[in-house]
Amino acid sequence: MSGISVRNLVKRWGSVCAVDDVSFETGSCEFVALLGPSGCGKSTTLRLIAGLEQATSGTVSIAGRDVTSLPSSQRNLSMVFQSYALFPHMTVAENIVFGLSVRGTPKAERQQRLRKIVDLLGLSALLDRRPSQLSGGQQQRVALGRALIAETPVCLLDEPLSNLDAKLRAEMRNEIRTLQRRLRIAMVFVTHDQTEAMSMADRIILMREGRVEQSGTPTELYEEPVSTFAARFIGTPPMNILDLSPSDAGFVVGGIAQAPPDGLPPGRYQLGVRPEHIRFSDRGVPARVESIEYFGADTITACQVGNQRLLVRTPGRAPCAADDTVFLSWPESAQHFFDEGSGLRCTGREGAKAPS
Amino acid sequence: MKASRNALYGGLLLLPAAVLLWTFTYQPILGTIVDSLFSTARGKRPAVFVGLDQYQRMIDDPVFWKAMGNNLVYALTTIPLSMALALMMALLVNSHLRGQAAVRMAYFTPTILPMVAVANIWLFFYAPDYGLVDRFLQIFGWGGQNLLGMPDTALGALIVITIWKEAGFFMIFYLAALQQISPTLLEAAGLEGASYWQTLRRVILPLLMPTTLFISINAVIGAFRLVDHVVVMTKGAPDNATTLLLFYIYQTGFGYWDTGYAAALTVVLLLILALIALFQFGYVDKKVHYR
Ligand SMILES: Nc1ncnc2c1ncn2[C@@H]1O[C@H](COP(=O)(O)OP(=O)(O)OP(=O)(O)O)[C@@H](O)[C@H]1O
Ligand SMILES: [Mg+2]
Repeated sequence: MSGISVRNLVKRWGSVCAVDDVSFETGSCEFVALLGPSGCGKSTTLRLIAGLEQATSGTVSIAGRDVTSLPSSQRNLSMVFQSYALFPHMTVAENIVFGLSVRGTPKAERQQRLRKIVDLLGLSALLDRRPSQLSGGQQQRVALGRALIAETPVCLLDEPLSNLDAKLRAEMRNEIRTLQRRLRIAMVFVTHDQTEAMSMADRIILMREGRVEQSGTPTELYEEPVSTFAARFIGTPPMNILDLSPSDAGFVVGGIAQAPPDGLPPGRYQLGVRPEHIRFSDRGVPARVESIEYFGADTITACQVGNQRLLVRTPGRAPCAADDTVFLSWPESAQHFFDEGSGLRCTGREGAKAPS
Repeated sequence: MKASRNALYGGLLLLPAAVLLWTFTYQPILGTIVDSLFSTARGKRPAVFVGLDQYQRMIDDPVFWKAMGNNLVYALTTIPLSMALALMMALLVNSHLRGQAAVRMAYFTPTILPMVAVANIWLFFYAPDYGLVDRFLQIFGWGGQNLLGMPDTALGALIVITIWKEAGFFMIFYLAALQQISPTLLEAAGLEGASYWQTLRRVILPLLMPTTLFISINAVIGAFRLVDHVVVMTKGAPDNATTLLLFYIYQTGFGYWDTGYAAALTVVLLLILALIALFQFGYVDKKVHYR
């Protein structure tokens, strides 16, 4: 096992429990995204792995070695900080080789590795500049260079793209992913942007209030969210969650019965349907169109079903106008049922369970 | 029309400051330079133009050279030592130790006291036989010395007081600068494997350079300006061992009322300070600002 292994990690500040019993493992060249809303403990988890914060309890192992009590310098990892943390008084070249030079790497080797990393990141023309003379994207690349030149098996990144504009962010996403594949290292990437996590990660660890809500591949998180929280967090726009009213005919939305999974015990449930799985059709659930947002490639239509709101995503232009009455339908396979009390996913046959 | 009116308003707004500067800074400087070219008026003899005679006299004046030498020693010891001490205290106080508020207060106290009060307190400390310093020296068998009264130790005794007083003041600047350094930078340095000393030398000290420059300017000015303790404690004695340049000017001007010579000495002091400031702002300043 050469990746990171985190077991029962807890971090408390007085009564605040920032990280609450978090466990996960990563492969040796896996790209893992730590995803979650603001304040859920992503940064704290990352800092605990890096050794910048002391764990209250639990262990962190890297490449099979327990590093819980080691200082960050001895954990054999590198990190890209959200603010980049470049040394303002050093040139780009000095910044990148800082780690090598304090660790006493011979000058010739330093130069050789610098040249390699600089070519990789396209920084050759900027070596003599100071960080203040660089653009945000260039600074970001320098920070990445400083982390990657150490050639550590693990690289941690704390929201490295959050200071960049949308276009540059998309470019850097690709670049980072390509680098990670080429260097065959493990990367743990903190983000609160689900698009970023979905598009880059091999695996997503979704956090909520200091706990791991769901951990799995982007496909798993998208197709089988374990809870309404996960369902609402993934996807743009996120999954529609509708309250179901129980009746003789089973579960009803807008007067139309919905087929529940086999063997779902009676109780209060919620129905989840992704906006892109809903179609306008001749019959189905009657709805009133509230507003239409046109994006070019697709359109997002907000509809009112009974007293609940529901978003529909259709390719191209919407076939309706505001205040129209339309009928909505979706395939049975696109339905997700959640327990109304706990918010957990219900699959019917075994009752509520998380997908393994 | 509009432009000239703006110029008028601008000029009016500047006027109060300009008047103050002129009356209390530039006019006295010019006056001093003019005075230094005249002899001192005595009794019925009015001041007459003597050209550079006062400066010629200075070159032949052993006390002037003694004062210059003293001041050089005084500056070269108090400036680096008080700055180094200030930096050490700031680093110590900035680390997250318990009771750091009390320590900060203790370090800063000497700065709040006026120099005259400090000098009087230290007169007691330095008193032979029963003073604090002498008591301490008695432990090593070096007691019974009048440190302020001996030519070899008098200047050193004053230097100690100055360092004691100035270090706390400079510490405040260093402390403020240290707290401006982003903790993430230090975390990054640590993560890259830098030891405390490497971080200090390669990250913290370079980032403190603008502050160091600022403090050094203050320290240089202080080294030529602070003479209260000389007046209170030694009056230049013994044998001019503690005569600093400004004290000599004071003595010449207001002790012997030789105002012409005092003016010439003042011009020399101004020249020295101007040259140092020029070097610091013109040359060093370009090297220490990164942004
Ligand atoms: N030094 C600290 N002392 C006390 N509480 C802290 C400290 N650092 C973080 N916290 C708390 O721990 C929780 C998790 O913080 P953390 O920085 O890990 O959030 P995050 O998921 O990174 O959020 P964001 O996306 O906003 O960066 C927050 O509630 C925060 O207030
Ligand atoms: Mg964070």
